[in-house]
Formats: sequence, structure tokens, C-alpha cells
Amino acid sequence: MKRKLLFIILLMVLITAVAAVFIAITKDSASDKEGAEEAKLKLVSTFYPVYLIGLNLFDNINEVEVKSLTDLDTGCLHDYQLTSQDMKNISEADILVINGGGMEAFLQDIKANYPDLTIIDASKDIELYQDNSHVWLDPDLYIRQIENVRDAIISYLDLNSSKATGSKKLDASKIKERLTENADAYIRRIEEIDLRLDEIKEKYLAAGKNSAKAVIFHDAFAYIAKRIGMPVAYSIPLDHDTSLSAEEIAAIIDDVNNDEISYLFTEEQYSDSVAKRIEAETSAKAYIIDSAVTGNGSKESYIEAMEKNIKVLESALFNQG
Amino acid sequence: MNTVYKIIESILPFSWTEYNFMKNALLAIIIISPMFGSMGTMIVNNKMAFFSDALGHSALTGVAIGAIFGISDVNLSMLIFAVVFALLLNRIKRKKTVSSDTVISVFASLSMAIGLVVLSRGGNFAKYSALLVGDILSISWDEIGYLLIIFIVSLLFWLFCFNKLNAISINETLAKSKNIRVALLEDLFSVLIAVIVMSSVRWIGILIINALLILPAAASRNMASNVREYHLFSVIISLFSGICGLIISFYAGFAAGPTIVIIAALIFFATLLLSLILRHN
Repeated sequence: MKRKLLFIILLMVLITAVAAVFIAITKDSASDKEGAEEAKLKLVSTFYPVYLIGLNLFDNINEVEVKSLTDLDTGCLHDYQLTSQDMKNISEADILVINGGGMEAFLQDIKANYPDLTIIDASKDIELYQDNSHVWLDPDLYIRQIENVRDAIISYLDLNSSKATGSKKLDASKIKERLTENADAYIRRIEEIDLRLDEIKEKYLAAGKNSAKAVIFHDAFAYIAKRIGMPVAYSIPLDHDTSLSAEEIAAIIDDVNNDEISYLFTEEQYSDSVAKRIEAETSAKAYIIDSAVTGNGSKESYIEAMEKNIKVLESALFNQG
Repeated sequence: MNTVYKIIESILPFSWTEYNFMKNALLAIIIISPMFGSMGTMIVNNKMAFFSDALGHSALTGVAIGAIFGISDVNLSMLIFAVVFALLLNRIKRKKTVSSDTVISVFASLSMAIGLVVLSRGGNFAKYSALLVGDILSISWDEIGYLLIIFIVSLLFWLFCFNKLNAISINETLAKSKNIRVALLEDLFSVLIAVIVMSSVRWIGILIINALLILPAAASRNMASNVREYHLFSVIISLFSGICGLIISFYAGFAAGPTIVIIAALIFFATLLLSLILRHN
């Protein structure tokens, strides 16, 4: 008995030692990345569109570190499940910026674990269109999201700069000033995009094409369609690994044929095989829209995505042979 | 609750104990893994590994039933279904018309299929994929309370019924001749397995929960030469792989359940090797 116990204990010690070495190796490489300079204020955003807001608002403000909670290629967060790594990241954050509108289903978990965390809801006071939380694809609403985040951060700074001391002390007035400048600059550029969408809308309505309906393959596109006044016949959200049944696809094909639906707006993020199938069987054409939920991490991503979308819309609506 | 957290923090001043969800997970493992270890010995003895596996899979249907009837507490619907499932299975098994592994397989497949049909309606299965691999963030303070109650109940059951169960497992006819109520005890044991499996399936994961019941006991059986050793080793191995796996999963960013299972499996192979060497000499 004693020898056997000894064997088990030895085994446990061995496993613990191997595990400790393993952890030490992985930890070393992780701490190297963090760098020497500690940012004074840490802002964590839940996913790409709100991450872009943070990135643009705090451009060239070194005191503030902006991080995305999820990987930049996660996409929409509908069924995202938090990992313990995410919880670690949140615990280090001062502010969590969320898209809101029900996008972050895991918010309850976060609130339960970190009741004192400042959470900024970018969609505050924005009226959702058909309970659709993908508001950022309407530039007008995106601007309001930017303003919401800006205002919330300014009031956070007002509230906390008096309390904070020592290394956490921030020069709040300087940050606020640059934050406002950055926000103004970013908003101006998005207003340009908004104007171009206005032009498309005018041309589209003038051409009398508003009878042609669209099928959208991502809820986010509802905002673009609404923005340019295009009626949406169907919304087929292909996010998550949904597989539509053959019967459903057949029904959609029939409807596309009968209803004279001309446009299928699909997206890169998920498989476009369904849109391709429908395109092959009907007269409708499929176009790829970028919903700006993934990207390469550049702060220009939103503007680049929208410029691409504008080109796609122009060619879809006005250059059809 | 805060005092417990404080105690953990002062005993274990590491970065992983700074997080409440890790403290919850640690407490849950400390409570649940000895149960898994001791129940596992009897499951392995009675060759019930397949039975407990089927029970784990039935969690899916439990969740589905909860979704249909709008039961807000998923734990409750899972528990009720698992208990019904276990009792029904025992009853059909006793009829002895088909071999028991066939019966179990039929039940397991059916319950999986029902669960999948209901949960994948409208293509939303991704929402439930956390059930398959487990989510340690889902352990709440209340659940630790339930676990503690289950722990006490199973301890009492073990104290009073283990010898009788052991007698049944050695020879059923002999046990009957000693006035042991075989059917009742078997049912009680099955219900107990159902309860402990359902109490932890959400954070360990449907796909691997059975491994936690079987592996520590199987590893211990490789070395043990009497019931006492068998139990002791199984509980030690279970507790160790639980805690070790949890900590590794935290630092390495793995899912906790599978990491625990890998540790337990490593121990199993080490003890298997030892028993082979000992037998050879």
C-alpha cells in the first residue's frame, strides 16, 4: 500500500513539474508581448466595430490602451461564449465598450463577475430597426455610436480623474481635448460616406428601381438597405453554422422567381454557397457586402469597408448591362 | 461567500485565484471530484461505463425539454429527465429480453437524437455547443451550494449502502439470499449517478463527463489490491487531475474539462504500465 501511494505521489509530482514548466514557457512568451510601458487607462471593446471606434477615438493618445476582447476575426457575437482568457482581459480593463442592442449575450456573466466595471453601451438611445443590433452599417447611426462612446468616456474621465492618484493619475483635460478632436475628425469622414449613400439613394429612387427587392444574408445589411430605401423581401441570417434545409432554399428560390427579386446581398464572413445556389437558379444576382465585423485591425477598416460597399451598390444598382 | 473567497486567496496567493469564477471552479472541483472518484469505483466494478456515458448524453434531451416547456432553470429539466431516463433504463434492462448494452445504446441514441432535433430547430444549435465542451464560467455560487448538498447525500448513501452494493456486484444471487433489495439499490445508485452527472455536465461537457467517472477508478484499479486502496487511490487521482487540470487550463487557455480528462488519462496509462511491469516480474 505504501509503495503504491508513493508511486501515485511521485506521479503527481512529476505531472505538476511538467505542467509548471509548460506554464512557465507559455507565460514567458506572453509577458514579452505586453511591453514595458503600461498604459494608464485600459479600454476593452467587445468586437470589431466598437473596437474601431475606440481605436479612432484614442488615436495617438498613448495614455490609453485599446484592446478587443474577441479576436479580430470573430465576427458577430451572437453565440459567442466567453473564455477564461476573456475574463482575465476584462479584469484588467477600466472600461468595457459594448455595441449593445442585445449583441453581447454574455453581458450578464461579465456583470456578475465584475459589478464595478464601467460599461459603455454604444447603442444607448439609438432606436433599433426591427430589433436589429447591427446599427453601425448605417453611417448616421454609427456617428451616434461614436458620440455615445465619446461622451461616456468624457464623463468617466471627469468622474475618475479626481479620485485617481499616483501612477494611475491621468491628465484628463489633455486627453479630453485630443479625444474630442479625434472624434470630430472621424465623424467628418463618416459624414462623407453618409453623403455618398444619400447620392445613391437619390439616384436609386429617381431611377424608379424601388420595386426591385433584395434578399439579404446577414441582418446587418438591413440597415444599408433601409438607408438607400431598398425594400428587403427576406432576411436570411447565415451567421452561426446554420444549414438551411433544402426545402427552405427551394421556397426562397420560388419566391425570388415570383417576386422579381433582383439583388442578393451576401457577405464574406460566412459561406456564400446558399447565395451562389440561389443565383444559379434564378435571375437574381449575388453581391458581396462587407459588414465591417472583421478586418485586419487597421483603424481605417470601417471606412474602407463602406467605400467598398458603396462601389458594390453602385455597380449593382446602376450598371446592370 | 466573501469569507470563503478570502480564505482561498490567502491559502493560494496565485494569479488564478484572483478571479471569482476560478474560485468557484476550484470549489466545485474539490466537492465533485471525490464523488466522481468513489462512484467511479462501483461503476467500473459493475461494468456500467456505457450506462453512465448514455446518462451524460441524455443531458442534451434534458436541455431540449427545458427549452420546449420553457423551464428557466436548465439544471432542473436536465435532472428530472436524467432520473427518469436512468429508472426507465434499469426497468427495461431487468426484463432481460435484449442484451443490456443494446438497450443502453438504443436509449442513448434516442435521447441524443431528440435533443439534437429540438435544439437544432431553426439552425440555432451553435447556441448550445457550450454544452458539449463545457463552460467553467457557468459555475455560480448557488450551484456550489447544490453540489455540497449532493455531496452530503452521496456520502450518506455510500456509508450505508456501499457494502450491499458491493455484495450485489460480486454476486447478485448471493446478495438476494442475504435479503438485500437488489432492484431498489440499483435504482438508487443509478439515480445518484444521474444526479452527480447532471450537476456538473454543464461545465465539464457532455462529450467528456463520462471520462471523469471512469478514468480515476480505472487507473486506481490497475494498482489496488483491496476495496480500501481502490477507493483511496481513485479519490486521490480524481482530486489531483481535477485541480491540476483546472490550473493548467487557466494558464494555457484550454477548456477546463478536456484538460482534466487528459491528466486523468495520463495517470491511467502510467498505472497501467506499472501494473504490467509488476505482473511481469
